[in-house]
Amino acid sequence: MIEVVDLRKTYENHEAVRGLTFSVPPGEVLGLVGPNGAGKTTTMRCITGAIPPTAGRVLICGRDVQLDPVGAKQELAFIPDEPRLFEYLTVREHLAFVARLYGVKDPKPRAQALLEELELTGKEDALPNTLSRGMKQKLAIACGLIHEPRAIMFDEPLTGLDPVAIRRIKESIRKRAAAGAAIIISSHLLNLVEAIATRILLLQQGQKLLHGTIAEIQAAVPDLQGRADLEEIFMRATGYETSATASGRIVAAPETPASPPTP
Amino acid sequence: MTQSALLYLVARTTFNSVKHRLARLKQPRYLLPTLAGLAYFWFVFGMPGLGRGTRAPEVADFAPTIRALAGAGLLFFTVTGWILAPNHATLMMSEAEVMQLCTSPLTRAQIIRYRWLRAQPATLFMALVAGVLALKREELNAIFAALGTWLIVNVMFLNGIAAALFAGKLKSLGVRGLSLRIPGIMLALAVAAAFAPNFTPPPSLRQFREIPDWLSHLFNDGLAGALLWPLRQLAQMPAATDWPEFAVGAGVALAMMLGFDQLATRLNTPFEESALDLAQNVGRRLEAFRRGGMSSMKLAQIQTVKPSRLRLAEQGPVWRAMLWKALVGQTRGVSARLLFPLLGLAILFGVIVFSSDRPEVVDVMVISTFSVLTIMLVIAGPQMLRNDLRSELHRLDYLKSLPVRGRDILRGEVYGSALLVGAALVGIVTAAMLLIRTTEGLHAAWRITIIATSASFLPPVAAMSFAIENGAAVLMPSWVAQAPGSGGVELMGRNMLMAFLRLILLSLLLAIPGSAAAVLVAVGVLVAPSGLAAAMALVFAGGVAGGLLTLLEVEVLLRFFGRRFETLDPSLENM
Repeated sequence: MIEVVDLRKTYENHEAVRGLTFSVPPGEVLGLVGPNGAGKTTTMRCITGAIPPTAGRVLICGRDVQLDPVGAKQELAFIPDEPRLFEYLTVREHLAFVARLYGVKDPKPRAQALLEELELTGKEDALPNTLSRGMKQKLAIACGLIHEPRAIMFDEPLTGLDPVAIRRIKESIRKRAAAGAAIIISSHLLNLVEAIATRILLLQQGQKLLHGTIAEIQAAVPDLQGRADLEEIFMRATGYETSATASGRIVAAPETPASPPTP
Repeated sequence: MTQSALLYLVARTTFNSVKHRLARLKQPRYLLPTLAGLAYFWFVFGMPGLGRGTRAPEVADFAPTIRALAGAGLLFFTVTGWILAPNHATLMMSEAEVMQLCTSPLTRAQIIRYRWLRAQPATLFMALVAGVLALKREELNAIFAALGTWLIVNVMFLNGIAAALFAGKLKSLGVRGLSLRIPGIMLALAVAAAFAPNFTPPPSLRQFREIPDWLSHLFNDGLAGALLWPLRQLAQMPAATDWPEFAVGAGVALAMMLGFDQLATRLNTPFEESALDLAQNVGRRLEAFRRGGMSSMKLAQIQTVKPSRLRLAEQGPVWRAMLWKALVGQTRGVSARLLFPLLGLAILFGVIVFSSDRPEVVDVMVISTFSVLTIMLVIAGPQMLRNDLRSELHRLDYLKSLPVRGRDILRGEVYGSALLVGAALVGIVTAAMLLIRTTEGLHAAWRITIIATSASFLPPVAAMSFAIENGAAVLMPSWVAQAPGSGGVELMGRNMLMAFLRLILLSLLLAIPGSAAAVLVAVGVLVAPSGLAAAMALVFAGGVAGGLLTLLEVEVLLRFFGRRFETLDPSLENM
């Protein structure tokens, strides 16, 4: 469970996030979308504890990221858009190191299973600089998943991956959600978000513009009459495309509990 | 039309770079180092009255010899460029330049000339520096010095490009291995053949006054003199005293530049693939260097690696996992070849020590040399081993998402590096104790005591040195991580300021445990029974006390820096 309550982050004169409140229950995949500068990265960084919020609270599985950072992060995995790998550790050493940080008991079988799931077998003793961009991304994902986190944050998880790897990662994300993990995916690839996410959170200028299932947010944009895809909704809601019948004002969809996705 | 577009690219790049550097001087973190660097530059090169003067008559006597030597030096660089050309990629450009220019409707000749054009801001800056330096010497003309330097650098630059493209052309024709070096070797042999008739046994150092004549005969007579003539004209341009003298050199330089340009452009060497490989390789290494210095750059080149012999237990304190990570990084980032100079030094000292009949003099030499080495390693160690938090700043958001307290991250990073440098320091002391020969003054038991004392005190001192460095990474991340595009005066000034701050802090922080240890020993001397054993025990106790106090200070610092780390904002570090 990830809970964000009245989150605010201010940089000097710029308010990057303005009173954001939402929650991601176990089993839900939340797609975090918005134009550049909408506050997605700042929100993600506040949730992962990389930066302290100016106001508000972030709870991971009931633990406050500010008051109990180690406890909260113990339940969390953050997979950044650019793989942040240690250039001097091999693939196997990465997994051993991260497992140790999270106190994983008997990590070797888990590491082996992840290597197989993400098709990294045969690369165990390779250094990151010898891996392709996609391989690095898969290793970063394996490091994030080795402690079986209950809350997972993906920032552009499919960048640089080939179609086979994309399908693998999608399956992997769905599998974790089905197992009860609360997942947030931040991405500009709206078709990916639409395919995986059970709910969408659309941010603009640090504020919640739309929040709900695809059907709910379709309904929130009156002139689309419930037919549009996420890209269309995004364009209309953010004002990049308007129609004669659009009201010009978007109302956030009601907060309704999400149903767990089917595996 | 196309050339004007390329000229526009070079001009805008230079203009924007200068503009960006000037604009950021509004921020103190850029202004202060720039001012410090300029102050240093002014003090060393520009201060009126400092170093200004004419050459001493003795030096003036050697002027023709110096010019001949300079000409020979230029000949050496020219020939070496052709011998080493097969090792080099054909044309060095950035990845963006290769991708943009090689896919644009440009001829290879145009791209080669663009590459020359792109080097001009740097060569002009070098010329400017030469001109400024010449202002300090009455017999030099600043304009000739600047223009001469500019022409010489350009001749050498175009020589390098022509040689690399020639080797590239041979490769494209299927020539491989030693055959690629035949042109360079032939050139070297031709030069050697020209010099051979002039060669006579050199005068001994006692016949110092005869050396100019010997060199003059070697360089100026016969075929060698004719061969060296154009390069001598080049070499004398910066020191020319009038326009006719300068014009001869300039004419030679322009002719050589034109010749190399024609050779480089008419070869039509397919350089694109090689240039892209080089651009990517250099880009990766530079990025690694920017993040973590030489050791990271070395890591960027490693293709295969054996699993580390350092074992990581599956359970235990988190900081030990960080320590393990740091140790693996440091050991993989440091080449064993670095040990060769130390080994060479030890062998050299061994030979001196055991062949000398004046042990007391040798002992003084050993003690002073090894003391300097110890101090240098404490100060320079953190600059040599940078695989710690300083090289991790670019992944700060990831590090902060891990369930690890800031102090534990810092502990691992600091102690990992300190263990290695501490071991090296103890090794130096041990080597010194083994090499000292005056046994009367230094009983074997004393040597062991000194080694044991250093083992208890020096590793904590190394830890303090690394704690300060990593603390700087937390408190001033933008100063520690090298910003893209930073360099020159600003970088020099920043390094100077950082080194100054480091030394002050290290001295202040070590003063407390050092004083406490000294007081302990002094009190011990007053109250303890006399005798060798008691004295040795006191020294050892002083070392242990000093080491423990230093460690205590390090722990306090790590807690402070750890708390600061937890509030560090990755979005503001602006690396």
